[in-house]
Amino acid sequence: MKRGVLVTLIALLPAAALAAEVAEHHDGGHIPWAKLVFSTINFAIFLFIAVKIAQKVELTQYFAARRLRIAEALAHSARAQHEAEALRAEWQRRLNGLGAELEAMLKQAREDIAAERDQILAAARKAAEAIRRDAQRTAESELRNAQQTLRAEVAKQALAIAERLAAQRLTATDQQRFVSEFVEQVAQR
Amino acid sequence: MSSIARRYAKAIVAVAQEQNALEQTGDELLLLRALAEDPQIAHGLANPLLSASARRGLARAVAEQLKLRPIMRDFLCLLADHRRLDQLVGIADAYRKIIDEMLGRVRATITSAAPLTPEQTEAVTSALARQTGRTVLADEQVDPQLLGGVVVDIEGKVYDGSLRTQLEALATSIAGGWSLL
Repeated sequence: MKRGVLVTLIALLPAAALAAEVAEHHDGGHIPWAKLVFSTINFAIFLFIAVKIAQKVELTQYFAARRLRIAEALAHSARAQHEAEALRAEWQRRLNGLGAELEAMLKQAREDIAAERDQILAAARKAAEAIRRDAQRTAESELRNAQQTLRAEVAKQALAIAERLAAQRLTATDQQRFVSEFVEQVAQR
Repeated sequence: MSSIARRYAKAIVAVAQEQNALEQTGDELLLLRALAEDPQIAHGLANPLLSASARRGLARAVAEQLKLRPIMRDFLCLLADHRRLDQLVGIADAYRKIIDEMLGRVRATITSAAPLTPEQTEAVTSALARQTGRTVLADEQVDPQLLGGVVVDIEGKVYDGSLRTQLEALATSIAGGWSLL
């Protein structure tokens, strides 16, 4: 309101100045008050309308923008509320089904553990059987080797004894017999 | 035995046959063979630095020392001229082989644990002669390691009748075929 009065006064200043100027130029003449008043009123109306229009445009834009922001904020709030409701409902549903889910998980875990235990046991049995077979094979092989070594050693000792006895006890008669046998063998070839 | 040695052996066989001196020539070649087997003499005979006259002089000296017949002296000089003195061992072996084939003979090395009696040697050589169809010229050796019996080698073919071999075969059998070493 104060601003409007101030604007009006400032707007009237040129009119006052015009009146003073006219008075100075018209010596002894009368002032055209009617024209001056009319021009002043006319200008004031013009000024009033201009200010109003300007104010209206600015206020309209301001309120439109504000309404838009409020609408957006309300929409955002509504969405957030909706999401919060949905989240709450989901968690509520989960909480309601938590017992059953835990039971299912436990059951699955027990089944998995049992299956894994069976697999481990089967693999262990297989490995044990392979180890047992290898050990048996190794033992049999070592036994055979020991037997062969023993037989070879016995044969070696027997040969050594036979050689010693032959060197000590063979006579000319034995040599004659060997030669005769050799002759027979050659003849039979 | 090289083909060169066999060629020279055939040549001296032909000459010896003409002179009806196969055995005598063979004996002289054995003498030369024994000489050529000495490493130092073998080195001298094969020396490429010797001149022709030196080689011929060496051949004549050897012939005189061994009292060889002229035919053998000339043969030795021929070998010296042709730088074939280093082939003497091979020539002697080839000569003996050719002569043995010509006369239907075969040489056998008879190794026994104890010296054979003449009767045993005769029995063995007769058996081998019947087996080979040729006269057997026996070279006897004694090896007590055989323990008993005999082993005969005829041109690489071995007849083993030794007690040692029989015992070793028996021991190998006891050992199940395993080596006793």
